[in-house]
Amino acid sequence: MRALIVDDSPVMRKVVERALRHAGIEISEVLQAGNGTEALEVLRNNPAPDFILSDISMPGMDGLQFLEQRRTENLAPDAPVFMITTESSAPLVLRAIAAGARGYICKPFTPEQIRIRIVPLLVRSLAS
Amino acid sequence: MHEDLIRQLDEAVTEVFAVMLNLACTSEPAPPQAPTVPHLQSGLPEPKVGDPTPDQYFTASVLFSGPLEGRCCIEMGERTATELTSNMMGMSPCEISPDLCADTAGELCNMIAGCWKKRHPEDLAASHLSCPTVNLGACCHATDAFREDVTLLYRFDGHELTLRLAFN
Repeated sequence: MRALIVDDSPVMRKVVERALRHAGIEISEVLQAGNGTEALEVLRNNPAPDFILSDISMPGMDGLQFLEQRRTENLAPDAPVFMITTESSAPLVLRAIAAGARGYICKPFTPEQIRIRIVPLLVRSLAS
Repeated sequence: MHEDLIRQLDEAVTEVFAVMLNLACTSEPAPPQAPTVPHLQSGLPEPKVGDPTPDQYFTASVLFSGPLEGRCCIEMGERTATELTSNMMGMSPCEISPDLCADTAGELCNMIAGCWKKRHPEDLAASHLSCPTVNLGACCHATDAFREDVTLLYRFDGHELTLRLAFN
């Protein structure tokens, strides 16, 4: 599977990639972006990833703006997006869901939490 | 209130260390306005001319805004930052650059602040967290004044970091 990981922290991008692999998700390629603007460029210039993991709070275009612009441009429309963030207030979660996020994972997270939250949705997404 | 604050902070740091680093840590109060130059903080002998340059210090901060106004700040030496970065990324310490150390300090600070914030009722937990900023040097003990202000020293595996949480 191909994943796009969007986070301004190179350390967190590596941590998320490791967690995906430890969760048993077979990753053939990891695309990376440091904010929403870079993520849009990645989507415009590459084959669509199978899923996207994005932070919310990032310098420049944040995760919510990225979701909205992705929808406007209809980029990788079939790739489910999961937010991974320290911000867990209900209003923010609702905004992310309204903008098209399929799941929400709070930092800190374990590979097991990644597996539980992501794998069922990925299986459903691939089946459809 | 102060005891509750310390308990909540300990819970937040313990959660972040256990989940992200698989490490256990202990805390103790850090004296107010504690000296933050490495040889004073760690009890090491004062460096002499010709000694190797002391560890670089990384100080990461995030700001709270909204119902909570304040700052969470962590401070650690280069050796500690390298160890934590190596642990988080699954890389050898010799592959860790100062930029990655700074990034790790910022992310840990962000997660600790977020974990502490979520232990509050929904209205306070809705406070916004800024992106982390990281400075080189030890500057957790800033002079900004807040109604609640606690500074703790966390120890783990022969390492230590200082955490300051201050808010109104």
